Amino acid sequence: MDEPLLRTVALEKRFGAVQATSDLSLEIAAGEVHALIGPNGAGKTTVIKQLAGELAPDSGRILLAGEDITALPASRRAQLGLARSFQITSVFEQMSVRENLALAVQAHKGHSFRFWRSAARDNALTGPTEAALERIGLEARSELLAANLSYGEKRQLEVGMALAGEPRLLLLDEPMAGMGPGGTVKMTELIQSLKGRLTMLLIEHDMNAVFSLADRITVLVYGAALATGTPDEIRGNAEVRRAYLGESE
Amino acid sequence: MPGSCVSRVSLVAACCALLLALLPWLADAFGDPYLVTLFSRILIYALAAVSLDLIIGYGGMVSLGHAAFVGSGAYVVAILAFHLQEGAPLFGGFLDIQANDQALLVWPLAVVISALLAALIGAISLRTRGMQFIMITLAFAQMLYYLFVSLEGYGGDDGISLWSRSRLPGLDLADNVNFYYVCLASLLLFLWLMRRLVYSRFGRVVRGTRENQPRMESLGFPVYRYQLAAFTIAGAGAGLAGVLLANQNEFVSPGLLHWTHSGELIVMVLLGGMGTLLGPVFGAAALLLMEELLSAYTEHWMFFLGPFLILVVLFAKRGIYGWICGGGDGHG
Repeated sequence: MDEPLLRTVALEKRFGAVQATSDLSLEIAAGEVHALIGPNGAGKTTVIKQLAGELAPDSGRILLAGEDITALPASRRAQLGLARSFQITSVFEQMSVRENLALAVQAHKGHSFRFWRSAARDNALTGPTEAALERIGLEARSELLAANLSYGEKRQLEVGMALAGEPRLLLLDEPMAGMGPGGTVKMTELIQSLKGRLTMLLIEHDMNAVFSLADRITVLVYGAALATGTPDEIRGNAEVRRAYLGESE
Repeated sequence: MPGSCVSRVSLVAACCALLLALLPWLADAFGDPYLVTLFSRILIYALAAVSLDLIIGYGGMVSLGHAAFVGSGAYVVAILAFHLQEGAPLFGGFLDIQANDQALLVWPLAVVISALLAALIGAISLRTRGMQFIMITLAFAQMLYYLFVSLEGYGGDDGISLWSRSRLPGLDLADNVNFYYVCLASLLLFLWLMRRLVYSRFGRVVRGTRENQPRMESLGFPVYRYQLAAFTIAGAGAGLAGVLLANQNEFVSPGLLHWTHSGELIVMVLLGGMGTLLGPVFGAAALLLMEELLSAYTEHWMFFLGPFLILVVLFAKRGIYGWICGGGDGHG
């Protein structure tokens, strides 16, 4: 089998008495949309944080395309092509929509010790920034401060910034969180359009979205992987139904 | 609205620049040469406040130790001049460095030393955040303050008096008007550099980090090194202000490094408007002019200045800059 794009080996994380991640060995194949589901408190966001480098695991290893990245800081991992969106919208509110995206583009265009030239007129940045604007469909709002966007638009911008650096692996932490039905449809379409071009790890509570988007699903319970499989396999898995969906046979 | 805000500020700034350019004539016309000295002081403090605005206003790094870099710049000038006056070798003669009062040599040296000091203090302080950062920058500045107090050879508490200002070929700095224009040129040059910097890629990273550091890291920016560079640049600006201040006063004392002096610089930034570059210039002018006017009437001028500052901070969101803008958001 090919080396998966991302692999975790026996990942462990403990917060005091709480076992947040327990002997977790995930494999995300290149090109797939892999969903991570589980009841509240199952430790889904904790996994994302460890993958992104915001939280150090107690033990275990994380490999990106075979390279051990366990000890690398978040910024270094992002440089290697690991992007993430946040569950709680995390955009730069005092910057315009365009500048938000330009900043995300800039992160992948070499170092930023450039003190003189106006960044807003930097051709190396403006082209990809316009493309990123178009992708999330916010061209008409580009000059608005991000603070003045609607909630749904902020979520789009959030994902757009993660996409702007053309990552190899995208970690999406509840991209639909708090969105109305219309926004959910839009976001599903956006993710659908990226499918095949981009490897994604998706955390989401909206089960319709998960089962329609994911190629494979891992069910997390108490920080441990209960099962991994295709949506059909997960749907038919009795253990999952018992533990997660709360159904009795 | 941002548009009208920018044009109003530009108009006010242009008027101020014109007034400043003509100030020596105005002082002459009013028969009050002291105005030139007063405004030299204002320009120098404005320079220091603008440099502080880079890290506080744009970088979100509230440093309560900025006066340390003003002081170090001033002391480099003073110590080199002192050795020249006394004929005593520098570093006890161990190093072959000549005492000097040539501006073209001493001033850049002072700026570099202030920048290095800022890099060193920043490298340690920037490992902390928020209140801890404020306290650690304060602590470093106070350490330097006490260091200079304890240097009896350099006058200790009493400081050093200079016999003359630095020498610049072709321009007599002993002349107050000439020196005034050097201060004005330094401020304008620094403002221009900072304006370029704030809107460059580097400035964008610094601004982004103020707003949301975790997001900057997840985007792929190693923010520490950018913050440190900004802190160092601000230190260099403060060092230049120190150089000018030493020449202006022809006197340097540890009081320059004291934390109350750092606090005064923060007040100038807040009063004028954080994150605006021009604001701190207005802030420095307002604070020093009020100090000048009020202290003519009462020695308890601080008693009247305090409530005024509280009112400004409470009611004008972006200080004087915001007020010129007309109370709008004033962003940009």
